[in-house]
Amino acid sequence: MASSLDLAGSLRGLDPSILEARLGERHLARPTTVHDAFDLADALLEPSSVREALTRLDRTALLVLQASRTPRPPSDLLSDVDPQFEVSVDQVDAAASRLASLFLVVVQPDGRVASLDPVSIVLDENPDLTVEALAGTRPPVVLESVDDLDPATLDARSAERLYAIVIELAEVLRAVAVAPARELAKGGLALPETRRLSEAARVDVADVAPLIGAARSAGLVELGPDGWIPTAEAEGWLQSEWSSRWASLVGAWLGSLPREILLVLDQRVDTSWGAPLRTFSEWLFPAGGQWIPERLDAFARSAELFGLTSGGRPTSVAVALLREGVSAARSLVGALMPQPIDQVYLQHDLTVVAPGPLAPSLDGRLRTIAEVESAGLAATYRISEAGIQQALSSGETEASLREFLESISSTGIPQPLGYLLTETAARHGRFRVASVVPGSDSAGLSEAARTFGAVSQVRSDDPSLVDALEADQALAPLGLRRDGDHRLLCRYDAETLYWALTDERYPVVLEDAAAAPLRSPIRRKVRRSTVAPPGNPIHDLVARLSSSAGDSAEDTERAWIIRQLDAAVKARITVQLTVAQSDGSTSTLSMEPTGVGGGRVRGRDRKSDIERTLPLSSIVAVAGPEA
Amino acid sequence: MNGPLIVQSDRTVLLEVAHPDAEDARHDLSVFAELERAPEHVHTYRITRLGLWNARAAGHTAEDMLGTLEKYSKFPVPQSVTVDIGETVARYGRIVVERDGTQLLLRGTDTAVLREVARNKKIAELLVGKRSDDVYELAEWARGEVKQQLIKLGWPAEDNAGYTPGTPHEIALDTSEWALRGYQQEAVDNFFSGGSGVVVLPCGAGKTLVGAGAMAQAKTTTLILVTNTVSARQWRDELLKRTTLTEDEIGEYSGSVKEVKPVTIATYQILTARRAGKYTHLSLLDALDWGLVVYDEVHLLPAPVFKLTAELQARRRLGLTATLVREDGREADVFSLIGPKRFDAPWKEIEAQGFISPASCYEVRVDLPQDARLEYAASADDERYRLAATAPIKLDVVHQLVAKHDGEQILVIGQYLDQIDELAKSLGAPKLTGATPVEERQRLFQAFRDGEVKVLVVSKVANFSVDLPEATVAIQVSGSYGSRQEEAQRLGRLLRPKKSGLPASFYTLVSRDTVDQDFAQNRQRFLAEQGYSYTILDSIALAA
Repeated sequence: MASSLDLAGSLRGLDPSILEARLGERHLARPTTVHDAFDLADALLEPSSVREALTRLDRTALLVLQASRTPRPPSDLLSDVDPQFEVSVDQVDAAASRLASLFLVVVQPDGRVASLDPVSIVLDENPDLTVEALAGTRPPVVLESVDDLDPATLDARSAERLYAIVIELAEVLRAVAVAPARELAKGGLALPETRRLSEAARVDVADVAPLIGAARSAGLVELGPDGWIPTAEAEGWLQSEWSSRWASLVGAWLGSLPREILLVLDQRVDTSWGAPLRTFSEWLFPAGGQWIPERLDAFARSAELFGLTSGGRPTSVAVALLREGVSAARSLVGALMPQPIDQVYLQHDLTVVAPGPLAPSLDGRLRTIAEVESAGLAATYRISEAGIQQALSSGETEASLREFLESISSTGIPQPLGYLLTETAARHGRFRVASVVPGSDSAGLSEAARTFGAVSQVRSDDPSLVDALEADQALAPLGLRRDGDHRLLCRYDAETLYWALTDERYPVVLEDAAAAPLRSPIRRKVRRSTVAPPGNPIHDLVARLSSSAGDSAEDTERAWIIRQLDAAVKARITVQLTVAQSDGSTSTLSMEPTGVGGGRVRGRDRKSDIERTLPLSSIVAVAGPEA
Repeated sequence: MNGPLIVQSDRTVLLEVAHPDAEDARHDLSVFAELERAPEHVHTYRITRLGLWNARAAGHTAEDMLGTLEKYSKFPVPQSVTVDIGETVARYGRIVVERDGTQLLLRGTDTAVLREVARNKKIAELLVGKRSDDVYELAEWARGEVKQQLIKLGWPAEDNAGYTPGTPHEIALDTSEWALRGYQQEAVDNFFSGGSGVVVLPCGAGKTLVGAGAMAQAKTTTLILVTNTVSARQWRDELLKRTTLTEDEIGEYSGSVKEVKPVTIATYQILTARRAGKYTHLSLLDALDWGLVVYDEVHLLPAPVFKLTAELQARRRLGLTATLVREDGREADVFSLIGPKRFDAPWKEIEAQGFISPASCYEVRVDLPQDARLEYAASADDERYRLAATAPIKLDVVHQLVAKHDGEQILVIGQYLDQIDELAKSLGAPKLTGATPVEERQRLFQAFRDGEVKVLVVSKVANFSVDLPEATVAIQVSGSYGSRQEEAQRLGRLLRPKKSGLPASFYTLVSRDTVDQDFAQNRQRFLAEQGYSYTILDSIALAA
């Protein structure tokens, strides 16, 4: 068997990126207290950490771990695994690699796989993990109740979710675009934030976290300074067709599933993903603890959310996804999704009802003038003056909007909506807000205006409108200053001025310095500055390790000897020292070290009962007290 | 699968009105879903727990309801909705209130459920003994309260404890000149077979007649609770006209008169009047051995009356309303204490008879002159609405509208007394405000009904305190008239289609680019949701 010294040495030899990835799969209680490879080896071999790692090993891996108590090449491990437990050489090889990857065995320079002492001790604690128990317990036979649901009914039932997930996630993306979803310092969203998103995106509170998780896996949101915000890819995703959206979400979700879940699914695609999956998981992972119900529950929730299961039963889409991959599943999803519609109802109350899923391009354009009130298989939008103003600022015209609405309406344009369009278009641009660049000729500022310190201005062609604006009490806090018949100046920036006027229902557009119209700004909610997201402790640990020591094996050995002696001094224990003699031979010394420093170790020689001082360079190895 | 319904996972159901099967779908859907909005093309219904329990109480099963959804749905019904309907409906009637001689019992058809609710602190207080695992004895006074508590726990009880017959009193319908319509008779029959409960009928569909029908069937002393004195008198007049009851048999119990007769009509206000913290007219509830209690406009039932009603559970109760939706959200109390919905209107039939044809609504936008505009801008928020609402330029528009509807019965409605004075003077029309004496009001109303007065200027106060006579044109110059369902119904009652078949018209004058317009926007949304047509006009175009 190998020692922690072997593990520390192998840790120091690892590429930092590989080390970081592998450590990500292990639970370390206090990563911030790890300063070098020896600390890390100790942390990895702490019984609690080992126990946790064993829970994630399947039966084959545990058998291989038992077999590696006697160091040997991977190919020889198979002989020790009970012949009745059917495993292949490849499976044993894969298991040995997995064990090495989890730092539960070390691969010695000669290629032999050797388990580590502390791992074996933990392994021996659990009677379910003996070779006999592991190999002798057969897979459970799970009797499933037979219902009369045919696969087509099952697929039809889940079809609603296939569509709903892409719509719900789209709403979540739009919600975080308006106000980022603040991440807690310890990770996750606080309940009030979850509720806010639930309300804004009109999804169940319980679904917010899985939806953000799905968006994160698919690279549709990223953590900004104020919280989760849409990535650059999100816009493209929102424009793509539904089955494509679904495929990218589910593909990313599948890729982010824990290895253990994938292992279980690989063997149990067809059974119910409810209780039978759990029973099988408990057999497959005999040391499995709390993670089994937790992860399976989370997995089951997500599977239902994605429309992969209905009442725990996998659908044809789920089977295709696991057996043939994402594109096969996508073909099925395309057929199950409702067909997009291109006609809506426009109503007197300014609502627009799409009596089915509106094609993404039409939905996107409609959203420029209308707010979504409910989104599902059918969606309800409400057109508002503010929405029309924004669309006009974005380059639409009354005629283009009218043409668009007529083209999608199955019942024409109701009179109140037509009136609103005409009225809003007529008012659009009556007030124009722009930044003022001091000293710029284009601003054409008077001397008085320059001394006022204006940074923005609002103009109108009609002086009477400027009169009303100047007299408006609600705008008094802005301290607007008249500058000629057509202009008011402001010391606040153009966006602040724009929103102040908009809030008072003035028809205002934003212009650039050359008086060209700009798109309406997005009013993002101002968030309190958040605590910077915590760093990645594993990444920091690896960085510390990289900078803490030299590269050679000799350095590792020397450092390890000093650490062992230090430990013996603190614990006041006697250790066996292997000391190199000048003739090249070695001798053994039983010593209780009392101090280490200056390149020497001082201590009491137990055999002769005298104080000795030895150069550290002469000590070849340190071992624990003789039994 | 291409029906008129779209069932959404948020429990809303959209109905495409133009679909050939829309009428049938609406008929079946209204059994268990509440209509939320009814604009012209797509109506929105919501499936609620109470709606499902109401339907269950009326004998409909979850399979029936799911069958309706599946039959008329355009897309597969979301599984979450299917599961939810099944589970919710199954909760009704697991607990039953019944009677064994003089002892009230709480029986559980599911022992585990009964055990669970009996452990609840508030219910445990109402139980006086345990007979077996599935039967508890209930305090006599707790029949209403236990139902309230049970519904809060999500286990609505079925009340089979029966009713006191009351003192017999001969009442019959006088059908020499009329007869109950089919749906009215059906409502009466459903009510009686169910015990107690609520009949939902739109305004104009004859709720009072259903009440009279119920009384004629019960033939017992009856207490009728109504919203105000005017309504009390309308009930009295209607009962005298439609039944064999005479003036001696009908009493009014209100602020001004305190009569207790075999049929007594009392106002909610008098019943909830308190002196020194005590209800002073509670004795009315025990003044006679009432066999029937009728609650008019049950969606307006004041909160204290619920408490009183909880103690009236031994008496048969009939609720009448146009909507089960309450502004205060106490629909569950109506369910527990009055009873489940026993009848809902067959809209198609009633509409066909022309009783609920909506009026046409017009919003007239008025441009403020520059000086008024500047005054408005320079004013503080609290002044702005008054300035916008009372803009003198509105007077011209009122004149134009009155001229346009020459010969029709026109109501002009305002909120501010100065403006009302000015309108009355300018139009040469009588005015009616909160300060107008009752006799003068009645005289003016009668003159208006008789056509002697063509234009009447009324204040908002007057409009709320009394029932306005019917008109074909209403012009609202100021004041936010409609923002709630109840007010839209009021509007429907106020404005009836003319005999000539022309629709009634409701005009609202709005100052452009002012807060007046914000109110108008809400009104537009609300009235359109109630099914009224809505048109926006410019005052200049109107003049042209």
